[in-house]
Amino acid sequence: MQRAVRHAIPRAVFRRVLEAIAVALILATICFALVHAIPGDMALRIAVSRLGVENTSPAAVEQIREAEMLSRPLIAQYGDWLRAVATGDIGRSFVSGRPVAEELLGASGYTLRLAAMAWLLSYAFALPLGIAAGLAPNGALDRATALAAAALSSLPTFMIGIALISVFVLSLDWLPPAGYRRTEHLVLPATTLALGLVAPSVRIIRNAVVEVQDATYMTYARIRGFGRIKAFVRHGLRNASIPIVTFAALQFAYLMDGFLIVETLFNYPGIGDAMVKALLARDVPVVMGCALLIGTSYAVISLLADIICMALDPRLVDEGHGSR
Amino acid sequence: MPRNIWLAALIAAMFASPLSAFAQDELRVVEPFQLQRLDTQTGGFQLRANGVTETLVQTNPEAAVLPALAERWETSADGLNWTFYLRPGVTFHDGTAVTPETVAASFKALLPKGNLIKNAKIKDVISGNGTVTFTLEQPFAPFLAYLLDPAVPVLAPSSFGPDGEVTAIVSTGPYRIESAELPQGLNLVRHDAYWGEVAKIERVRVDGVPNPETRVNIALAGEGDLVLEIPTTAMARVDRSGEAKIVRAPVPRVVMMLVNVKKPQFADVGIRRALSLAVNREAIAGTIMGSAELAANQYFPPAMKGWHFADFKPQTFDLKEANRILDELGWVRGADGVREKDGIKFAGMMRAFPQRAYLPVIAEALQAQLKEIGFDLTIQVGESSLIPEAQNNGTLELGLGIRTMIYQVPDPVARLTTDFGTDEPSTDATGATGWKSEAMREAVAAYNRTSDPAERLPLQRKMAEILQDELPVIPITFTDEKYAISERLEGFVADPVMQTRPLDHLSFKE
Repeated sequence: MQRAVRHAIPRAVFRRVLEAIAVALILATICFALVHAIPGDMALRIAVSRLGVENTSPAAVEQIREAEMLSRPLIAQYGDWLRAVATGDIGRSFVSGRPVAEELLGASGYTLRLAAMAWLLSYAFALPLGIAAGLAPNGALDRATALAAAALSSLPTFMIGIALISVFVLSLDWLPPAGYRRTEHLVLPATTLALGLVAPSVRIIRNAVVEVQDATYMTYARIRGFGRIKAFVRHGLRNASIPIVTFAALQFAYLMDGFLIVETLFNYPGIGDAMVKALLARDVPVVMGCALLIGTSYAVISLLADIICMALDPRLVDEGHGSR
Repeated sequence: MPRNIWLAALIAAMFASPLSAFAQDELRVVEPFQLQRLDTQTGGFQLRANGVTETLVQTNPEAAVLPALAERWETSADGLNWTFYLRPGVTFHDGTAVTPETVAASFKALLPKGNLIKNAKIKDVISGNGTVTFTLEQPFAPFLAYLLDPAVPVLAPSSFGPDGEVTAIVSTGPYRIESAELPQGLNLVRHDAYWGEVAKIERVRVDGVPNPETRVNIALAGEGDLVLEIPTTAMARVDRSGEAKIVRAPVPRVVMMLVNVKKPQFADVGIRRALSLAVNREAIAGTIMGSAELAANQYFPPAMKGWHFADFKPQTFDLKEANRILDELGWVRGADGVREKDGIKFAGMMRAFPQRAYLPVIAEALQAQLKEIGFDLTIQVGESSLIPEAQNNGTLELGLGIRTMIYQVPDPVARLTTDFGTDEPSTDATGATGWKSEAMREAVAAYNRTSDPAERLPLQRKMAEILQDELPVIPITFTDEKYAISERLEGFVADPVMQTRPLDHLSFKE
């Protein structure tokens, strides 16, 4: 890695840390407001989730209201939470009673595995397809991938999941329908997410390749006698990578949306599943913890993208950021 | 290539760590509930149903109370002292002996956690020579049934932490908890020193899968041996799959229309009768629940002997009679077909919740059916806790609720008390709204004082009659439990009172 890039990394890290704090806090504040905006008695909802419907008595509801201090003004509750977070304590789950950090650690491990597999799978398909389509724009492969990308993009994630279950579980009997205990349990949820990621990725990669192909340095390379593919590998690939890396980081947002659906459909115990359950149970500390985690993860991924982009194109160091 | 080695190691660590071996001879139970905490309050029913926890008594499929950890019992003449003679030689899952002292200590620690058993008003629990004696504040005839409150099983001393809180579930059932993966599931292993018949299958995996479609997929793929709560719409698919077959069992559960009798359009019992007559229960039960026989013409289902009465005038579908009653009461149809009286519209908003997929569908069927008598029903599907909240603040007009009558305590009076015999606020989407009956409360109180079944029967009839005549809720349909049983499993018999899933009686076919 060049010296300029190495020197630029601390600045990028510092800026992204500030961004991470801001994003996480804004996200957590929005979640706090949303959870409290949902109609219904919060103490009753927590009591039902904690004790079960049959064990929820009016006395238990009032006990929870008292113990969790739910009657206080919202601004006071929020202030307490902020103060606790500042000391590194993100609280305990209203429902399970376990520390939120402990709950999220377990769930995020599962989600990280799922995300990594989905990302790897999606780029295993998208990179060769996108590059091939970009090297021959308006060719048969380009048109076919455009059509497939449009079709996949228009399908909601749960539809892709159900279709995969129908084929690979119920018809072919190759894979399990749900769970998390075995390696093969990851395949269908990861493929569901990956197919959602592949569609836009192929087009972005294709466009980046087309753009690079039209650049004057590529024309010069070809004049020098390089073949189309050799010229692209030697001169185009690095330049085309920058928008692709930036887009790959942005796709994290799509993945988060996908986790909520995929983890429910496949009964997979990740962050999305935890957040849905926490929202239903009005488990404010867990919802806020999820928001903090998601905001921070987004910033970390953006930072990684910055560093990769700066390494790919040192000119970006002077601009103070990596990704385009 | 050190970078490649690091990358390979990272990828290997990601995918290698979480996965445990899957035992083919493991019984795989899939239920809709996920345990959030390993305690007897949240998971008491699941722990008992899966054969982990036990108490002094147990029930049979007729909801009769039978001996369990206690061999026999006796009551003092004044009905205040109940003495249980413990079964000798019983051991907890940790190998320690069940003694009168451990049983008494367990009850003392857990009694404050029981919601239903508190109605028994237990003053003290004393250990004796092979006995445990409960002293009550007042005679309470259904005490044995209330003793089955699943929040209060018998736990070993090793279950409790230094502060007296439950930290582990160490009981006496045919299965013990080997490990818990909360909230996803439990790994159970056979309790070889069980006092009764030792379970045939050594290991059980219990998975909590709340999404019904995912449970169906698990059944279709042959990945579950006992899958609970299969939706009606998926029954044929499961039966055709060749992986599992559907077993249906009636359960003591009613779906009912909750009516706020304080609202002027529902205050007159005649109006509630007209609404009831306008409901085509056979059509709803047949098309939505999968069997017209589930139509609920009275509050208690036919399987509940002593509570269901065949000679009651059934609440049958009769539009002509419903319209006649409303005409007679002065409710006049407007130009839009909706009735009105003294400026009050014959209309209401029904709250329903989606956790049971059939509820919103039933609400829509009711909307269409009630339109025939000039009632304008609007529907709001939301979270279930909105219903008790609206009941408590008086804003509920109509609701669609469910009651499982002997879900935890095998005596319907436990739920009749909370639903129709108390001034306490509602915590569940069920029961009366704005309705109060002294006759009902007296009948409940008399029942609680009476232990003679012959004397109880007229009281049971009285309670059922009040619900039939006054219609504080309008029963719509009963439900049944639909289990998907894998083809490799044998010995499954559904428990109609839903107290246990007799896992210890199950075995794999040779």
